[in-house]
Amino acid sequence: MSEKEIILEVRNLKTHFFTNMGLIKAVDGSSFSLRKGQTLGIVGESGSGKSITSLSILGLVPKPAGKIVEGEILYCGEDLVKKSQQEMREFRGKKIFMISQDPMTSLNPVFNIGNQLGEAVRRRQNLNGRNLKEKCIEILKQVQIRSAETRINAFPHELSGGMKQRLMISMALACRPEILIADEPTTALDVTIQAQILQLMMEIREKYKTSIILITHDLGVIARFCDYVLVMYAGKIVEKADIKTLFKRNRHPYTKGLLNSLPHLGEKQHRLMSIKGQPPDLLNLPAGCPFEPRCDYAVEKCSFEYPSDESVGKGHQVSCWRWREI
Amino acid sequence: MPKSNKIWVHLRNAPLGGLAIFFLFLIAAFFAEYLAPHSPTDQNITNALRAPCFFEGGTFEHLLGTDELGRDILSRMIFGARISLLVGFVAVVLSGFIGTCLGLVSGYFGGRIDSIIMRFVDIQLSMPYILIALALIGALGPSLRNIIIVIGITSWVDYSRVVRGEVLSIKNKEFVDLARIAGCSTFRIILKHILPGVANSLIVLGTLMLGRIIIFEAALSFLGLGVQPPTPSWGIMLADGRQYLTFAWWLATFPGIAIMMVVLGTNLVGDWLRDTLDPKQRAAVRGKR
Amino acid sequence: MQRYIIKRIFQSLIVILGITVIVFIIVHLTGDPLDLLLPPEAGLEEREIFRHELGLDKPLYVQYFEFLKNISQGDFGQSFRHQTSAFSLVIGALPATIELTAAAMILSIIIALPIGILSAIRPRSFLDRLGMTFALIGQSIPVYWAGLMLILLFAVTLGWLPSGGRGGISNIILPAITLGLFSTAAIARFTRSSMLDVLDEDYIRTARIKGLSEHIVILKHALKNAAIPILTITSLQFGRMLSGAVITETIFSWPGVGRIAVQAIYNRDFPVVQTAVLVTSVIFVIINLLVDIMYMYLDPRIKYD
Repeated sequence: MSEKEIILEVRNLKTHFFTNMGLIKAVDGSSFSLRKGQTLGIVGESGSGKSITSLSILGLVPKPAGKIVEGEILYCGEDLVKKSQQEMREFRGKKIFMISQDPMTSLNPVFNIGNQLGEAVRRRQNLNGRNLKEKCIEILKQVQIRSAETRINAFPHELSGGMKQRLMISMALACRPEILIADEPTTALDVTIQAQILQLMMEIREKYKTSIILITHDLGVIARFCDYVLVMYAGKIVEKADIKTLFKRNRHPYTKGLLNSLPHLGEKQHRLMSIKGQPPDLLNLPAGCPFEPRCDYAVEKCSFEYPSDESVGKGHQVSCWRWREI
Repeated sequence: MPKSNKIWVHLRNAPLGGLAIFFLFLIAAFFAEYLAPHSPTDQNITNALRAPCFFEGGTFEHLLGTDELGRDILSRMIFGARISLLVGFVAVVLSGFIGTCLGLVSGYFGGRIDSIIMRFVDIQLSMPYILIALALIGALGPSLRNIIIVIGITSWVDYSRVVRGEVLSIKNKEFVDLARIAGCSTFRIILKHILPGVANSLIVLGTLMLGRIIIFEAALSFLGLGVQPPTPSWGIMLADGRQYLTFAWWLATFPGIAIMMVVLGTNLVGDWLRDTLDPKQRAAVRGKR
Repeated sequence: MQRYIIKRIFQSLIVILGITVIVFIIVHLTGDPLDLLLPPEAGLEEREIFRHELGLDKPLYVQYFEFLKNISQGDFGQSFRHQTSAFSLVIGALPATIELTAAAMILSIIIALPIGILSAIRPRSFLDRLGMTFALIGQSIPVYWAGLMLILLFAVTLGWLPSGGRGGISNIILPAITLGLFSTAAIARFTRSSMLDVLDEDYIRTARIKGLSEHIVILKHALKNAAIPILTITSLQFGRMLSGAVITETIFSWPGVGRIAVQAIYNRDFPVVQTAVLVTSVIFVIINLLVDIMYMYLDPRIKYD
């Protein structure tokens, strides 16, 4: 497969949750594509639908309340939405892998890390016994876990947060997936560790040409790491563009708000800007644009009609009635 | 989301069957005199061991048949509900009171007292409660009062553990600290601030314990060390039924059905209450977003 | 780890000590044992002589220590009714009780675990609802009634199985089912809820992300975590069974400790009652201790201080 070829294409994905309290449209009509070797960032607040997007790709939307009701997820031409769990298992751990948000809870507390890493290794290589152990130690060293020979018998609760996340990345290394999804990989860690983790991910990208989908609410991480960005709000992609365009020529009020709320080093700060208003109530979304209550540019049309996806430039799309004026 | 929405969801899930049985039980217990077709103690040897109405030899006079002394089974069952409710309710309150007090003290004060009380709990839990109860009643004599007391003092353990657990999680919350700073006496803090938080669990536990205690009382009566004849208790009826099992199956069957239904009712209601009152709700959406 | 074990053993000993105190108190609530040993015509003087001989005129705490001393040497007193030591009577009946309880426990686990796991895998399915309905009913049926109904059906009406006595397999089936009914229901329900809790955890999702087969996810990753609370419930159920055995053995004329104890209570044969309670309780304490030690191997997070 050559570079720049599209390996994952999501078309009009709609993942809804049917709960006792009502219908939650967690992802409501997302379309985007991922190219080989590309790093795609998905940014948005909690509840914007970023995590559910990744779970939809993996076929791990929480049942029974959650369901992909519409859309296609094309991986090398095959539609993942139509696949059974049995078929999806062929992809998971070999072609697609995900590093979850919270390393503290993502590891099974009753098995040692050699055991858990070994499972990932065996997805790709049929190793056993001592060979398996040696391979695991080798991978642990690659993610810079010191004293790997003894650490391999340790249990997750004996590791620090940063080490746990590095363990997750080692599992990714073992799987050598084509697509690596990283859901808030650094949120639960402190700043110095964050840098290390991102560094490791960059190495994976370099070495194996893995395409990465990076989900985060941290624009700084996006800036350092991603080629292309999706901005999500209340289940919809409100803007998508390559990284430079997003930062310099963004056209959606929400994107603007996000960028404005970043503190700027070196400049005199009058006050921290934040986006006014409340996060959206997913059970009671308005008919029009969900951002309207908090939007400085809103006009009457925004409150009853949802803006269609319009093209601003090459690879740059936005959903806003007033993008031309922004 | 509006609060009324949540309440409606809970009410919608209410176990109608369970509640219905429960109320039937209460009505039978309170209005036995009006509901029972006969007196529960009227003997009529010539009418002994009559089968229930749809079977050979049965009449509509005695819908569920008669026992070995000619007493009407249905009437005895209805009056038996009264005994079960009486013993059950008082014993639940008694054991609940003891257990809650000990649980509150144990949880709130911690330390030495906690260790001692918990050790006591371990000791009691290690002993077969039926044997203890039987031995105590054997010692004290089987009167209604003694039965209630004995059941009460063998059943407090569950309450104390649950209450202690709740207290431990509540007592570190801020409002308790504030109350302490404001100078409230310990007693007042426990009563006004901690007890309400424990109330939910107590309601659930009390409901479930009611069923268990009804079974307990009937067990004691079944073994002859509970309520004494001629007072009609479901347990005694079962003991009678055991003797005549081979040729009068109805003696043992119907009282047992009664016990099972009532306990099923309390279990259903108790489970529903637990789902309703427990703050750690099972979310309708499983998994994290 | 050693220190933890020693601490637990020590705690168990204290519990056993506490049990002896309670047993002693209960037996002494029964009133004057002399009323049972002597004929009613015995004069006051005779009573005083007997009282002194039996050591019943000493203060209570002295009597307690003598009691303790005797027990530690294996002397639990002589049965009032039968001409043997209470201890040999109880120990003689113990194998029967163990056989019945073991059979009931094994039956429970074999039936309950799969039901609980299957229900948790497919929550709200027909299988789940059916299983949990049976479990709910099973927890509402009193032991004595279950026993009677089983006898009614299988022994009286169908004649397939005997209605009592100890013997071969056909003898143990009904009592084991009766005794195990409640536990089966309780363990099934609890397994389901424990598994459901575990299946919600992030590490299960990680296992799925790795693409592991569903068998491995459930039986390796989920079950080992769910096993810990299930083990707690199972050992609690075992304690309940020791109580339930009393009734079951009575109904089925099973010659175990429970039946002996009940008869002893009717006969006011206190040494036997006291021995039965002590022996049963100590067995339960030991089982709890063993279960606790097993925990250490199941859950590596437990701290040993």
